[in-house]
Amino acid sequence: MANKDYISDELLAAYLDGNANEAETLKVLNAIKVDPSLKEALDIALDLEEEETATYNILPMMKLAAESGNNICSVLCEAFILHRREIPFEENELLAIAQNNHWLKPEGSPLHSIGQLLAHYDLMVTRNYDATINDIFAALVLDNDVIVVVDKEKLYQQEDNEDAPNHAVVVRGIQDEYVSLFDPALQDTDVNVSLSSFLDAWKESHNYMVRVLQSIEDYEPQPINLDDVALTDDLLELREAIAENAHDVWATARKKEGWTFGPERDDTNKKHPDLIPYSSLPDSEKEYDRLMALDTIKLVKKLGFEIVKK
Amino acid sequence: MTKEFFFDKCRPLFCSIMKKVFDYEVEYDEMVNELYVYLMANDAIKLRNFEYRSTLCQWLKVIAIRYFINKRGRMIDDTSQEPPYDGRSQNADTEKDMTAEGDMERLFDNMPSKRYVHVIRRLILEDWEPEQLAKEMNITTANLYNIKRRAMAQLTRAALNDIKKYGK
Repeated sequence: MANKDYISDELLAAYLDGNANEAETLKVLNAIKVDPSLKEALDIALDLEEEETATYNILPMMKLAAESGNNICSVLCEAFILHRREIPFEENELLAIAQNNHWLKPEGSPLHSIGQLLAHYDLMVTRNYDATINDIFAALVLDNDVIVVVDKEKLYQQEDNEDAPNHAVVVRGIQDEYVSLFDPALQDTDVNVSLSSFLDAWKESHNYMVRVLQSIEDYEPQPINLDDVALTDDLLELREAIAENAHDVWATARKKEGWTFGPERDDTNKKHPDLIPYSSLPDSEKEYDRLMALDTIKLVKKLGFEIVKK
Repeated sequence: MTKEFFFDKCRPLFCSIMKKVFDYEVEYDEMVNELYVYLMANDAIKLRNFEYRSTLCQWLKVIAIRYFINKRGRMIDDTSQEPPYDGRSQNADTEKDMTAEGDMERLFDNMPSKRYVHVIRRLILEDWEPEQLAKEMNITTANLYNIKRRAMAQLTRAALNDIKKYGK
């Protein structure tokens, strides 16, 4: 190809980012027809782009709820619930506990740390993504407390520079088309926002909901849905290694506690039929370990981490 | 661009590219070191030629893909063979423009998202400012940036399919 038709790296990157002008865009589109190497490069770039787009389903575990002075909105939400449950606490002490355990960072609270303070005060806390408004409603009916993470600007229909979950609020009630909130940024126990604004703001956290139970009967396990996470062959190979190692870790701990092999499980005499090498386990038991391993690998990816072979 | 950014942060990107370019095992560290040397050669002229017309990540992605494709074919060109970017030299001649514009309309017809077509028309063909278009679409400019990238990806995919279909 003549040199003047060469698509420079600079131009190709600008084109892919949508920053090329009309003539440059046409030039790239024309060059694809005659340059197999450029065609392949674009094919690969698009595949990578599609993989990146798939990351929209990554859960924002490490995002920070960081509104209301000093980025302590989640601590204030948890303090509000402790107060409502009539559990005595000192606000300064709460802050110190949260900071010392890294549940509260200078920039805010990672989503996965919200509720840790409540658990510290022996309350039963569950966390889940992809919750629905009906889940919140059901929790409130049981007098559970609910913290959700929202995009604050969307909640109040303000100018929004970035779509991001950045604010923790307590949901107090749902009536018709309104949702009643405790908003620590406003220090108001009864802020009403429209249901549509609430849903719009809440979806930015992948509908993240922290629920504080009243009794053990309220507990319904809701593991993260991992159906959309596909694993490459090399990661699938990891599954067996993790499953075997998990079994060995479990067996080591049991042996240290004095357990030995026995044909039937006997808690009194510390006998367990699975205290044998992984390779000798029945398939049903291996399958349990494999499922745990597979879901762990998928969860790591779902939470936005990459597993890279060195 | 720090070494940490290149060797650590970009590791997943380089791994993904290598997997797609090579259908056999390659020595990751060796390859990435070579790429680094390529970027830093001649007093980092390649790097210094980066003109911020794209994000650094997009630029590095393009460089790495093309470098590894060339590497695979043992045809790595001397960096000096690539002319530095010059906007004036990018103007296609009128005849090619006309043909390509006809092609572009066909590509637009083949793009599933008419919203993306709208974004490309406004930003590239009509030269609107991103802020102006974001306002028209009632979205943030940050959102528009993502939409624009996806729109270009869809346009390119349409172009690649067009080649397959018409054998151009």
